[in-house]
Amino acid sequence: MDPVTTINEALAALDALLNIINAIRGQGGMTDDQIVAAAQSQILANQTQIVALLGALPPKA
Amino acid sequence: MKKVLALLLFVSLTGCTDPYGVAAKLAQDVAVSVNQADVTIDQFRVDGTVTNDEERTILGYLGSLNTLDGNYLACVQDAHASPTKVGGFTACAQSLASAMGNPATLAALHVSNPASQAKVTAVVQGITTLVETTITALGGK
Repeated sequence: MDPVTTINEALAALDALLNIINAIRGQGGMTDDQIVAAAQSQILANQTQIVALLGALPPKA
Repeated sequence: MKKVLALLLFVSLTGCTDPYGVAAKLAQDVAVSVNQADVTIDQFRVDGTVTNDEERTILGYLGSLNTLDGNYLACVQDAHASPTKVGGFTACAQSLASAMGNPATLAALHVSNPASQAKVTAVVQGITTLVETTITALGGK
């Protein structure tokens, strides 16, 4: 493979990684404890939703 | 690009300055991803591209992942409560990565419709990337 192409691909991959890291760091002005509370709330909501979805499915044949 | 390389080197050498926030954000991101996946998979079943049994299997996996995420968040809170313990946050994230990457579990996530299978795979890979990137960002803290 052309070395320039390889380097460009590597740099593009690093850019993508940086974007992900920045997204993780971008906490929307929430404090750490607010993030924890939001995560706990969402996890509980997910459990309720999954139980409801499974309950709505027809029983296995 | 030099800035990118410098930042990545900085992160890898020093770790982030707010490991509690970064670790907690992962729990929130995984929880939101699971929520979106729940809705998407159920819509696939309604559309007829996923069978009832396939949805049941995938929802089971997502339920397990949600439980793992809850355990991870509890681990993060413990690490935050023990600030002198080195590597606590990273250990939590590594445990999550290990648990959610069980090959037998992942192999069960088979969907016969190719488009739906691609979506399921993308969701799982996206969550895996989130976990792995967070481990890198934590820098061993």
